[in-house]
Amino acid sequence: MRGLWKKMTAAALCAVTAVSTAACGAGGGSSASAENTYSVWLYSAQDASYYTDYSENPALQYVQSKTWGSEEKAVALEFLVPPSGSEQDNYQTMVASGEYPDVLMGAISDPAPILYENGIIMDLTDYVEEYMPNYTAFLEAHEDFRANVVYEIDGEEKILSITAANEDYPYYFCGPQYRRDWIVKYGTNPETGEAFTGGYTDPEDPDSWEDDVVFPSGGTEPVYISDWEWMFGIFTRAQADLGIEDSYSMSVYYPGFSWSGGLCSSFGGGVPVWYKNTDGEVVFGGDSEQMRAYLECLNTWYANGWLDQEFNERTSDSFYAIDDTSVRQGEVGLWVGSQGQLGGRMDLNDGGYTEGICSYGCAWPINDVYGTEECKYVEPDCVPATSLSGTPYFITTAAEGKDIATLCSFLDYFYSEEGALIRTLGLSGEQAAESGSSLYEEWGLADGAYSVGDDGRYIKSDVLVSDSGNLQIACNLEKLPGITLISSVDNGYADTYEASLASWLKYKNTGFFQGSAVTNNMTNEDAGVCDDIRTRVLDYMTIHAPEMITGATDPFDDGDWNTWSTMLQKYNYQKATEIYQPYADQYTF
Amino acid sequence: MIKLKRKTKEQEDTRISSMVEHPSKGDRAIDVFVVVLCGLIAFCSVIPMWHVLMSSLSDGKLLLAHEGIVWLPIGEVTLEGYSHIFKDASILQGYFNTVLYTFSSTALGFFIAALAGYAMSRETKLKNVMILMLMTTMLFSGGMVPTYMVIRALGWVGTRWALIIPGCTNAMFMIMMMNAFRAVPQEMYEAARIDGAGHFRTMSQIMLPQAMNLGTVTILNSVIIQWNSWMPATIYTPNNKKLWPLQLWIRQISANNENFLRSANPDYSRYLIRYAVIVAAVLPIVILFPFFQDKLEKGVIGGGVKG
Amino acid sequence: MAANTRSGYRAPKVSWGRDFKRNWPVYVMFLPALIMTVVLHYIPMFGIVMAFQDYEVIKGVFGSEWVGLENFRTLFGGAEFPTALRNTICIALIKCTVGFVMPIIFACLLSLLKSRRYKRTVQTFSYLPNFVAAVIVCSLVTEFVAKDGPITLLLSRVFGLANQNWLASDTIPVFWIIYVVMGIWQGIGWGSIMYVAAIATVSGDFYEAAAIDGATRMQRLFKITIPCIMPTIVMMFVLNIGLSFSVGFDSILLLYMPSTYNVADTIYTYTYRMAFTSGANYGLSAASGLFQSIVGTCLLLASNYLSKKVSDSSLF
Repeated sequence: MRGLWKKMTAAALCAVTAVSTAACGAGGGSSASAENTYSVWLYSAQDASYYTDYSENPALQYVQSKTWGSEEKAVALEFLVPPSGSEQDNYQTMVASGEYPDVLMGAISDPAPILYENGIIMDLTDYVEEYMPNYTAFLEAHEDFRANVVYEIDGEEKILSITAANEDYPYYFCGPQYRRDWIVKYGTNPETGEAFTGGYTDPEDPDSWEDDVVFPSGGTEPVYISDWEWMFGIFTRAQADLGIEDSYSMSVYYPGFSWSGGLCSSFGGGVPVWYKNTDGEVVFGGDSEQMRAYLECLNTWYANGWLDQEFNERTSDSFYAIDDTSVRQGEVGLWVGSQGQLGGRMDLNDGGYTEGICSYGCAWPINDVYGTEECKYVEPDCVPATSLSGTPYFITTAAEGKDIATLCSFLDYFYSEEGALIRTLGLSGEQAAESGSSLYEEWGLADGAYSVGDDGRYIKSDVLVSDSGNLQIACNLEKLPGITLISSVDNGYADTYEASLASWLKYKNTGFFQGSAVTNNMTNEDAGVCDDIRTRVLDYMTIHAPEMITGATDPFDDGDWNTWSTMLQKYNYQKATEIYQPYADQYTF
Repeated sequence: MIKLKRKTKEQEDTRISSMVEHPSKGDRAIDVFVVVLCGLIAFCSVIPMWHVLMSSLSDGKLLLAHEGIVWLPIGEVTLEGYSHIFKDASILQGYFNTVLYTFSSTALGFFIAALAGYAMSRETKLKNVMILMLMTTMLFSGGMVPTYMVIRALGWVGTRWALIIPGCTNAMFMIMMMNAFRAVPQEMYEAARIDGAGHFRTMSQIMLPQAMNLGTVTILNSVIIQWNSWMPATIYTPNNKKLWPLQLWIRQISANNENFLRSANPDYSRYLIRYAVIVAAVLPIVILFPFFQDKLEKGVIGGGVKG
Repeated sequence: MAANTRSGYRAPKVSWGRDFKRNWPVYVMFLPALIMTVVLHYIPMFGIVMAFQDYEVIKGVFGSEWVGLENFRTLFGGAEFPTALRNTICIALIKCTVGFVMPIIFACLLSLLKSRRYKRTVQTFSYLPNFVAAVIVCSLVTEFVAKDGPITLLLSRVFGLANQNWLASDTIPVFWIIYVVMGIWQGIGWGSIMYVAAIATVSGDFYEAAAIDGATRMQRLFKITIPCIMPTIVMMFVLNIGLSFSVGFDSILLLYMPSTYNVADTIYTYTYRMAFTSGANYGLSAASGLFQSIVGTCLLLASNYLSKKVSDSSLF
């Protein structure tokens, strides 16, 4: 034991030496000079299975080998990427210490005017005008994009960010979808009573489904709540026939409502929080007749066994998700799912309940059953919508000594068709060879990430189409600002698939404004007040809406409903409504 | 100077067994009860780890549909989960870093805790001030950003120091060491002091060997805390992957994997990653544990010697 | 005897000058800890003022607006605060009583085992749950007490209880029991290490003497083992009480649901929802942290005082 102390001391000394010697040298040789080397903070990069550092991206290496601007300088980028889950902490320490990167991806940052006010980001108006012709052209051609990018500060219009853009309105990545195959197999024509017929014309093609389904409302798509209820009846029969235990027809997110729209908006429009109605007034929807009709509807569905009976217990699933497992196993009739679940794509060929699955997308329904007359036959107006503008990128004041002109010329390249193609799809075969990276070859993309079709559109490589991971993001450059090509890319979508995607965008969002220019232009003080009120209102509804749905309290009962609305009024939502109104008048979304 | 007689394990064993040579009936019943109860506790403790291990070897798709404990691998035994983790060789650097951080932080921390613990265990006027000062750090914290500013002012951001030094100042360990020194018989301390030994020598040569039982516990605790630590690395070295400890790699891999089910054609073997990472992170330390335990017992026997 | 009833060597009252003259080497030995604690813990504590500010990341601690006690008013004024406070107190109480004695009992059980190898196996196994991440433990608990889960089935077959998802039950004290039992399950082995070490220090002579006197094993346990490890127990008890109010509520976030807020919502989870659901209110979260720290300090001082009165051994 006598030597123990000595040993411990020696160990401590050893450790210190080891740490000192294990210091690591960073930095690699690059042809770009220091003033053309820029640090870029990304919210997230690429999953580590393709490469460890985003600077290994082959498309990036290709563009770094070129020169930019009138002075023909090379540009080098160094990426700062926080580990997953610590993005917020990372942003906070960055701002607190004042050590900004040169380029800041604005995924979780404060809105641009606030960053500018506090001297964190630069005013890019002059640079954009002079060095970014492509970006300027896009701004001028797209008024609704411009509305999200140009800010009015002290009476002057300023461009504070270089914002990623979509060529056209893209499809939304998820939406309601239902088991079309069950309707064919277990349903009957509502008018004639005859059985439906249908099936895949080509068993290999997940989009070759054809059938003669007719809904009670007369069309081939479900339009009204009554259509949905008709489907639920069919799903219940299907599940009984297949012997699925603990079955239900429809998955629903955990508190039983989504404050950002969707099904909530089907009952006369609006959302349970603040929205802009057709008269341009900001309205709080939490205690409206519409919300009551919504809760009445879900209460009925729950009582009929159509809703996931344990929806309010699925809180430990990641992101409070729906019952993903049951959906994946084909036990559910209707759910909110992603593009990748449409058609026959979920058929796992292992028997089970996904055998012969065909999933069709549909629009959110229109209420024709529940609540007062004002809640019926109104199209949803608060629905997930897509936008032309993507993530903003800021150039911070830390970059002031550097060559901003060249950086802007470089970034402007991604607003040209050639650059946008690299950003959206990746490199061509020649470019890949030129990039000096062998990764394209390793991934089987030696011929490039795309080919050009007869109609001039770009056809994605088969390797990328069949990839189940994130190879697309690994080989393109979508982490930099630029245009994402939409209509110029031929994704090879079949008609049925495209129809499903289109159905998710059937109704336009004219009401929901959280996260749009309306809230981004709010002062910190106003935003703080509204956020606090919203937190409390949502907390109350999160606790008590499930009770209304499961029947612990009754939305049909005036007493219970009065308790609900008086409680909500106590949170002083009127104050937030008043704060939102002038912003909603001034800014479009 | 006091001579330390060292008893061997065997001597200790025979002595213990000689104590119980006349067991009564009640004693025997208690013995059986204790053996069964301990077995039950051990069994319950193994379940989660066993579940994780067996799940990591199962077939991803079948596992997803399975409910309850996985007693044996479901479907064909596969190592796919592990191959996903080790596809990126930089995780090996993570193992090296974790060992380095664990070792240095524990060694330095023990050095400081032993000194401070000894200081607080002596009768001085400032004794309670010292104790309360340390206790305060256990309860109050300035939060992440102010600490970051201090570490930055020290120039440690982006270096290994930020991951090692802050871990050395655990008030809990200092207080545990204080208690360990307090438990050393006062006569030994006095004898050493009368012999003319200085405080440092008294502490390191006379008292510490006696206090090593609790000392080993603090070392074990420190090893575990450092082994499982990832938070400081996300704050102080987020951009230098070469400095990442193992646990941060593991979090990163798990996070990248969270949404794989949403992709069009999910690779079900990726479901195994969430289990495989636990095994990969825990296995080295579980294997090393009996070794630590051995040290612990040796330290204890050393401590059992009378002066 | 290793146990320290410290009254035996309490130092006589001396003047400050004499104390420094005699004890300066002791103070020097405390210096490394002092410097590191001051630099790494005390200097950053200026961040606590966030509790009195409308803190904005961009403006920082020095630029944010002062709001006095506004954050505390918001915290205490919330409709769910009383429930959250009650649940925090109840869970902390159960943790400090049942949760606290379990590792001690386990260590005593281990000391009664005769086979060294068996003891060691049990010990090693019992450490394992400590290594499993909280997320996995929570997901296992969720699975086990779900409808048709193994524990639920056991309870319904043996005790005739309803087959239900116990985590969804808002009856007192179901959630508290689940939560504390989960903590015990995870921590019993690791928590016992300290007591096992302390028990091992107890000199064999005492046992020998007791065995000759004809004391049964149980008598020996209560008359010798437990009194001898009392100082360790007291230390852990005081620390435990001090930390019980503020530490270890984060995994509730993974186990609770709106329908069980009335039993499962704690100050930590309540603050988390209020501060980070929409936007990030760091001021509120700092205020809640400060409140919990102050309560913790009071508990620490009180428990130390109590243990000094009752058992004559205390931390300070």
